[in-house]
Amino acid sequence: MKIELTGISKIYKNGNAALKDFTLEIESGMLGLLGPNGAGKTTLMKILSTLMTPSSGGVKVDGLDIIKDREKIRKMIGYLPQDFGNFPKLRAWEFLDYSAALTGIVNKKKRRDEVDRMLEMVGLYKFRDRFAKKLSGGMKRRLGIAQALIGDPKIVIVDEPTTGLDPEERIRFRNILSDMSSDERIIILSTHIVGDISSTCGKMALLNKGELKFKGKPEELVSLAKGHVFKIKAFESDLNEIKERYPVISSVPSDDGWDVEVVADKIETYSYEELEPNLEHAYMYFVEFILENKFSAVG
Amino acid sequence: MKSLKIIWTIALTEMKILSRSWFFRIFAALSILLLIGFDLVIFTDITGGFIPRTFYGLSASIVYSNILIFNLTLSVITVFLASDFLKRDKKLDTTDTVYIRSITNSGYVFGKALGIFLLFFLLNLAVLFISIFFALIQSAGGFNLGAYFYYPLLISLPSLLFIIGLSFLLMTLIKNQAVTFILLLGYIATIIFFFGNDFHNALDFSAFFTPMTFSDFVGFGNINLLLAQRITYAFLGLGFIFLTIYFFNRLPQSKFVEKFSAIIGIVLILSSGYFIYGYLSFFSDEANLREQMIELNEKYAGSPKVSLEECKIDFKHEGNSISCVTKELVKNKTEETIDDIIFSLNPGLKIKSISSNGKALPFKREGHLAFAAPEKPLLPGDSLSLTIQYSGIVNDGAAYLDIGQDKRNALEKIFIQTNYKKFSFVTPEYVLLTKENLWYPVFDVTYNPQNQFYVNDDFSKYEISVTTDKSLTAISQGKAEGSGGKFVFKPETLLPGVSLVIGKYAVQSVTVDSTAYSLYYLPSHNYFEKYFTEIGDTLATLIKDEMESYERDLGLTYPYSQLSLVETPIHFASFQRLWTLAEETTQPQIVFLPENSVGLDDADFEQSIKMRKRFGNRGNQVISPKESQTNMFKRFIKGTLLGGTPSFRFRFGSALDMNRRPYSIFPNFFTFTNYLSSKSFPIFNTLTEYYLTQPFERPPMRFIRNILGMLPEEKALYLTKGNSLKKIISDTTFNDNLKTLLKLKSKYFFTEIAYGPGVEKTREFLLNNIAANRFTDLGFTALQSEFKNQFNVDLIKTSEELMNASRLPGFFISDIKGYKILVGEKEKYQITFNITNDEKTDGIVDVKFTGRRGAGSGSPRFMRNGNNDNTLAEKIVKINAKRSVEVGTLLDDSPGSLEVNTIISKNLPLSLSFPFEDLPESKTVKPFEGNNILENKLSFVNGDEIIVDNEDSNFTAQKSEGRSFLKKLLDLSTDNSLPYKGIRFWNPPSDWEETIVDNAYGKYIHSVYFTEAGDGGSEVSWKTEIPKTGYYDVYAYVVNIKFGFRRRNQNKRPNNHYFVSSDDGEDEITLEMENADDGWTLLGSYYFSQGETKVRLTNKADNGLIFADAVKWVKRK
Repeated sequence: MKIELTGISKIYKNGNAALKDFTLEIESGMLGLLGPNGAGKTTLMKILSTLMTPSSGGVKVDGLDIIKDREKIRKMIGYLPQDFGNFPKLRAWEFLDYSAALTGIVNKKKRRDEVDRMLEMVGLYKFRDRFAKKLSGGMKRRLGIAQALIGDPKIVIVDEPTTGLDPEERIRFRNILSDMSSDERIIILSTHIVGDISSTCGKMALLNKGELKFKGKPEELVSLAKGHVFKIKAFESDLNEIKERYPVISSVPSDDGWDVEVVADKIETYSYEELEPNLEHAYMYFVEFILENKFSAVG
Repeated sequence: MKSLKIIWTIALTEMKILSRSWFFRIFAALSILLLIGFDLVIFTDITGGFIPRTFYGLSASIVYSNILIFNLTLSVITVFLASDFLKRDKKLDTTDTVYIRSITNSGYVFGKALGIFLLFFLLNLAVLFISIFFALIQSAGGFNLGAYFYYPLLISLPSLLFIIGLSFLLMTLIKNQAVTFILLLGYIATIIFFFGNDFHNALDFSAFFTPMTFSDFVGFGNINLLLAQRITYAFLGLGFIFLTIYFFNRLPQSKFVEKFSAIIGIVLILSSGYFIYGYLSFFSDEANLREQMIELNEKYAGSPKVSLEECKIDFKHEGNSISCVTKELVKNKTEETIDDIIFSLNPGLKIKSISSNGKALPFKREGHLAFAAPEKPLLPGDSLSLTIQYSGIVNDGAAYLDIGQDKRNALEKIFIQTNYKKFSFVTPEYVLLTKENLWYPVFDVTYNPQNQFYVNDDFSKYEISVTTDKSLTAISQGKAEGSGGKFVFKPETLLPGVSLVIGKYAVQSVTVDSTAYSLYYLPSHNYFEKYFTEIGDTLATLIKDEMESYERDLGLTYPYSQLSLVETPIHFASFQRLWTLAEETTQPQIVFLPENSVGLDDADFEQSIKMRKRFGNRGNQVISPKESQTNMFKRFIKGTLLGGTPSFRFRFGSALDMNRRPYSIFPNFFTFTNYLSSKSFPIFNTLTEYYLTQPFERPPMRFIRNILGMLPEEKALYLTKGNSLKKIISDTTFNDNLKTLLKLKSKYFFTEIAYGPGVEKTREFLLNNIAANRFTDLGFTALQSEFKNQFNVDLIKTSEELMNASRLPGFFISDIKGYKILVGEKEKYQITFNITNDEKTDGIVDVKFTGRRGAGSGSPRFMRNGNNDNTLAEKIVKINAKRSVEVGTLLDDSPGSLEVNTIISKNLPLSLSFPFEDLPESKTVKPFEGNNILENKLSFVNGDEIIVDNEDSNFTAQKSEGRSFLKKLLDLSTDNSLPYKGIRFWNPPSDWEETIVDNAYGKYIHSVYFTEAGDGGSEVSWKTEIPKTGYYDVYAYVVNIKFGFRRRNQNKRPNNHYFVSSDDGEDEITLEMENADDGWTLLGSYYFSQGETKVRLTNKADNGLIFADAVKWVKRK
């Protein structure tokens, strides 16, 4: 499986350019799309899920053109949109059944089996007869992924699936995604939550202002941040100044003041220790320094 | 296949979602419940109410009504649901998960549309079951299985498709549900409430106004027309759905399908245009045809015509067409030589040949007219025999050239069903043709507006032979001979024309005094027999009695040996003509009754029995079933055939048109047997018809005035605005009121000529002349010389006066006195009164004394049988201009009232009524019978009184500024061209309005102002100039107004607040109206200085109506 995006731009009617000459090749496996709000993630997802056409550039899925061969490509796609929660008045199983029918499973028995399998998988079997509207936020999202995965699609596009979920549901959701990962399938997960990527994705791409800024393994991004993550031992009185000077990742009260984690080129004035960066640190560093042109772009 | 299954899944899911919406559920439940409630009230007697047969009389009435009502509610709800579909799509982010599936936009839109459609069709199914249920309970109309398919398919299917399509498309284009709603609901409301049946129902998407009655004789009135209209909306709806696919806001799967949908959508919309064009062309073609026919008639109206002496028609019924050979003997009765023989024949019929004595004659055709050239011109007195061969399809549009488009296209609602109007029928199973259809050659031109009163005056000898299907029965004038599809009719008298009916009829006959009375009906429509189980053996006597009594009242005898009542398809319609009382529903020897008696009150026997059960046993009289059936039968004959009140259907069809008697057999006694033509006085024949039917006239019921404000006669006279009849007749725009005016003029004409010889003798003489000159055109001139010889009465002079008069007399009556006196041994009743004509033109009035009503007259109107003519004496009084006449009458019985009919005058009401109390005895009053012209004209007002009436210029009524919008809307129904309005007690005016009341004060016009009770903010005032300082008594004229059928508690009359201005300031006087008597009521005595003063009356009261009439100031001595 391969998706090739070549020089995609999307300019909205109001002149807003959501994507600018965006080129990316996506291979089987799970790709995490990371970027701040407004980076163009959702636009990209909508283009990939045939809901939108790019203003220019092309998308090929295994050699198929996303515009000309829309019908064939749609057969390959499972999609979970960003705000997923408003259902028509259908029960959980009915919603899945409807989705299954739309993917082309016309045999009733086969469809029921498939629906039950998906319900089991996402842990909603118990709630199959409940109206989809009445499910909790996490359950709705699980139902969402179930409908995206029904019919065994080759490409699964998941847009910001964990936003607004409590940590437990979030982990549960990530696990479902990880389970679905396989060599014959492309899963594209867009998120602004770094944890989603670090726990599930083998590859990631970083978007900002409609442009691709990084593509690679999460570890590669982490290694870029090496030597740029520090923990400052700060007094209460310094706290505000530190926050002004450095992008702060976290600040935790300690016995004698505050432990403040920051990303920076180097630390002056304050006592600090260097930390081993994780993906979150790396993302912060990347966004704050590389994208803001405090350093020359990397990758 | 797979995509079809996917569409089906989408449809099912859509159905599921919709059916779970509370909005839908509540609506569906409510509308079904309402429908059941409606059916219970309208089609069953569960409420104990009286359900006219008209509501359910046709075999498809119930299902048609139900589908129609339900469809209307459906339209509105479909708008909500259909436009909701896209809104929901927009709102629901889950929709994206559907949009990315591999389905085409067309599949998706179709699926959605199908879902909505199916759901509503299921609801329709429920409605059908409800209809079947009620149809089985109320089986009067018979069970019509086909109707359960036709109506949903013709009404619901196209409406649903159209509304769904329109909602989809608008929602797709506008993308705003609120705006779409308003547009769609506005559209529906505009179509239904504003356009209604305009443009021949072309805009009527819901079929609410589209005529769709179903006849068991011939099915729908015009199935092609109906299909064209319905297909238009089905195609439009489908077209819109296809366009929705094109405009749908989702990336299409296939550009081809998208474009293809657009093309199909446009093709469908264009084809719907084609259908509606065809539909509208039908009407415009017909209208053009009639216009052309009228033009031709005008063009050839002056050409000399031959008279038809004999006519043999050989008629072949060939499916939807006819084929005829006619053999005529025509004669030139004119004084000119006739080169071309002109005749009219239905424009749908093609002439194959015209020959005379075996030799073909050259002929040409211009529209409906044909011109045949005989070998040599026809000299005066010459006769010629002709053979004419023609065939074709009778064009229904050629009938009724005299009826304007408005009347022709007027909605005919039978309850909520709309009836299709048709004037001829030729189908493989049914034929109905009258002379109006020109189905055989009529040797004359037909109607033209220059000569509206012209009627062909040929009385001819006819013979008709009919060939038709073996299973069918033919009915025409004369006795039918033959069977098995071959019939011959040889009517024994001359006839002005013939008609023909062929159908699957059953017949029941009874012969009375050598006249055969027959009833022809569809075998499945025998609803009536079970009501007359007891009177089979007395039927002949009953008919004889009724017929003889009618002949006695009319003074003429029935001239034929047959009378057939023939059930006809519900579509068969007739119009009232200007020149005659006869309608096409009555033919010589034949009356065409409506299918299943729909619209005939008096044939609603079920109702009759119920009414009798409820009201009949009031006097503890036990009525035997036989008596009851006898009464019912008599009532049917009297009400329907002998000129009773018009039927329900017509009463509701055209607002209170009391003049129509569509099934009256009266034309058989005069219109079809006599003619009184006159070139100089063409309306004479019509006036005579009115005069002859006078004995059957009944005074209008009080509530009619309450509703209309002015009676039709008063309205007609008012609208002449002082123009002479001559001028009015030449103005065709006056036609609607002309008939009523003619009725009035007829009364005037015959009252005038009867002045010398007397009422009785005049009538007798006229009747003798009519009886002696049957089946011929006697002519006005001949009749007038008879009158001249007999009575020295000059009809011509009277006719000229009638045509040219423009001034009106005006009368007031005073000093009515009545005493019981002894004349010899006998107790008599002496009445005297003065009548004054204070105008500049001579006048004539008809004075009548009626007796007191006997016991038992308390029964409701509908149960009364017979003529309740209880006239004690009638006389004509002439009062010349500016004269007063004392009229004295000596009566044998105690009079109940004095009725003075001023006929044509400035008076309103035109007819004055004065009731009598028990008369006091007098020993001094001398008997006086006669008219005594007084030396001095009486004056209306006493010298020492100052009276201001509401008609005077010193009276002012305040017009309030603001009226609620709703009130105005409700008031649209009132006729604003007339000064006097009806007392609409159900919706009283918030402004002061004027109305006519019998017992109101007034010199000529007995009017009052009235308004609804209010806060006192609106008032009327009477102003006057006090001539001399001093004490005056101030009176107000109080009128008691009784309402026909108001509920008792509403009849409470509010107190009136008068304000009298005098030298002591303004004094408020409250008059308690509840117990007030009619007439002058003293408000008080006041001191007035010379100069202006006034009395006010405000609208202050709790409820009810305030009436303002007159005020007087009387100087105290």
